[in-house]
Amino acid sequence: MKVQTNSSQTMTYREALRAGIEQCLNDDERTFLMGEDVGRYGGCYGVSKGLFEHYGAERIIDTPLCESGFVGVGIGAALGGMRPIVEVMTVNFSLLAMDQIVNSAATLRHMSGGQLNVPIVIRMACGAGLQLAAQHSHSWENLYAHIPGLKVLSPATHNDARYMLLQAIQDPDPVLIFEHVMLLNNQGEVFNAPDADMEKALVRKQGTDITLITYGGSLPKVLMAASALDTLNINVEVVDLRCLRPLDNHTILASVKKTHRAIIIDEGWKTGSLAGEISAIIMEQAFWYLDAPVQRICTQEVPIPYPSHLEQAALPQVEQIIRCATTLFAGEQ
Amino acid sequence: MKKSIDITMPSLGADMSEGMLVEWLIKVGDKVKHGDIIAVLETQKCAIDMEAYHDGIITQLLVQPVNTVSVGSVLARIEIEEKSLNESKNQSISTEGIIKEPVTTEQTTPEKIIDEPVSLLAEALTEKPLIKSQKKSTEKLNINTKTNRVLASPIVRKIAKAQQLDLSRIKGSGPNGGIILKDITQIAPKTRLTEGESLTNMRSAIAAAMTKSKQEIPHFYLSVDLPINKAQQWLQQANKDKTPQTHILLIALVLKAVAISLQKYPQLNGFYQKDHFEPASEINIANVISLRAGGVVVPALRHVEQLSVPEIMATLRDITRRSRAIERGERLRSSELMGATITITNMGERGVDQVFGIIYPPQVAIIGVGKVKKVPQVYDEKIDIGEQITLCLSADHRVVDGMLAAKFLNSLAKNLQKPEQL
Repeated sequence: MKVQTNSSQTMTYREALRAGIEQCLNDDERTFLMGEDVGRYGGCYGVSKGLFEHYGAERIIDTPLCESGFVGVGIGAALGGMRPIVEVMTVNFSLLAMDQIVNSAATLRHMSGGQLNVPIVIRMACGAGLQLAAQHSHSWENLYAHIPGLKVLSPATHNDARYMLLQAIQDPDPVLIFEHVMLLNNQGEVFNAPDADMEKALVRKQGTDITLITYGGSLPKVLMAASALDTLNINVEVVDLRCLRPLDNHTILASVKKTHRAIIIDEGWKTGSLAGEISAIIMEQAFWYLDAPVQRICTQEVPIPYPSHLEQAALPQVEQIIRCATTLFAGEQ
Repeated sequence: MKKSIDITMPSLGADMSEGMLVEWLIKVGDKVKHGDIIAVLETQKCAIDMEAYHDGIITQLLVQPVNTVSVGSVLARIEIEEKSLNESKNQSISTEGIIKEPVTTEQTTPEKIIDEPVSLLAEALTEKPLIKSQKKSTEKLNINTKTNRVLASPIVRKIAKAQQLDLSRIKGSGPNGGIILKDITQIAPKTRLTEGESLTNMRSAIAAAMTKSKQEIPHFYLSVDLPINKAQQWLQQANKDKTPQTHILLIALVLKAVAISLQKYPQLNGFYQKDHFEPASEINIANVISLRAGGVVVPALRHVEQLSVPEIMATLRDITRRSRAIERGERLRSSELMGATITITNMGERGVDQVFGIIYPPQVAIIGVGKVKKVPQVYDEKIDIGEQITLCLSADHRVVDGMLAAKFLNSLAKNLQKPEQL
């Protein structure tokens, strides 16, 4: 499935994101990057470091701390024919811009009878693990995945970090990209081309016994659990959703129909989660193929704690995935 | 105050999931008394007379013969009189009660023994009051609905449908004993084989129960050789004036002795379910009766502790005769096939020295009785010819240990030395 080419480069997830932004800026002069501290400071997470010096203040725009304002500006620019990349520092602050995103960006094509479209890309950091406590550690992808009119991407690999932005900016409608903060420093391979269309889920590891469905920051944990499970003779298949709206039901269902068991690993809270949505899809469309109840591993339903040990205890962990998979496969519960 | 009660398909064994209503012996409007035979049922094993458990008037027959329904299905409704403090006021409420709570009161009665036959039965045996708090009966109803059907995963059901597998015969290893994929991938070929061999229903019922027992129950076995000179003398005396048809046989004494010993050691009399043992308040001893056409039935003598030896003998005779005459249309009663709390298998008549039985779950013990044989016995340093039998006890090690089982056997042996006190 992966378009394998001879040459691959090793870089951090952060560098892959930056390379993606650079390519967008180089390919299309209508593209610009806008957000809090993206310019002179080089981005709160260092993603846009060096871009201001290279592209200048007209294309790398520092904004005031006003999410509803600069996201609104981005939507206006998109309506006016530009191809803006708006960086909202983290998903936590995106709620301040939610009215712009949900009520404007997502609806204008519909409200204008198809006359207006909003080709904006909004990038935001997400996830927990950096001891940033309850107000800076959320996983709210599911809030946006709920909204018709938006596309929601969750690049979990370096290659997706490199190419998804490019795919998103070519989309005529608003696309949100969630970049998990725990991935930024990881080294990984980047190839010459994207793995697949951005809306396609990918099987990251083939297996026969259980389907582990995940996305974003949880993918490395799931792959780690998968290799551990291999040694226990449980051959799991790992599905990386990649696109959270629209969901690639076909890939999810094909895998579950093969393995008859599914565990969804989602850093969001369980109640009202994407994991719940996927579980329901499986129930509706693959019920007669199931050999065990669908399981969900989600973040504990507490505000994310500040102390490291409590924060880790709240998040889905590799051991949890292994335990859940072994019990499920043994037919216990 | 009148109260409507559901009459349901009873469970007549741990392995019974459905039964066939063959015939109604009553019609709507009939008055019935507790113990009246109201219907003929047929299970995998045999035809059974179904009794009424209440005095009342049959108001509805909901299932027409001949129809197979799952255990717990409501077959009919009976209206019973219930004592009420203000009769007139409750007249209208009672109708409402019938609609809303059709299953409230009969939860405690054997009629409503559904899928967990024996655990509910154990409750039925230990709890006499007809009416219980609403809350508790609702709870129990939930348990019933939860386990009323064979638990199997969706993929298992799909495959079973395609391959026409009988899931009720497959033991599940999943949660709550549910059947999951690996259970049928391992068993499916075997199941087809046995179908090919066209086992009779009874054969497969026995197979299922005995397999379950041997797979789940850690059996251990103790035996004791028992001089029965005194018992034989007592029997001779007791039978002196009796016709051969009313002769008391040794097995009746054994049954009585077992009942008395069980009162002393209730740990062997009851049911092991859901990881714990529940002693039964009654002593209902099942007797293995082999049929001429092959197979066995295991009807129970109820309340053996309350019966005299001649009564035990009469009951045993009657039950044996009806069991053996099943092919000729005789039938056992539902109460006789339900609620055995321990089993006796008597192979002595067949010339066997000793028999180590397989426990019939969820019971926890079975007693094997061997043949009467003449042996040299030592009394006062002298050898004499005497008679002896060998009693074997198979017990469930999850519930009892060897020490207690040995004490029970000793107590049983002692009881049989004093037949006059039985």
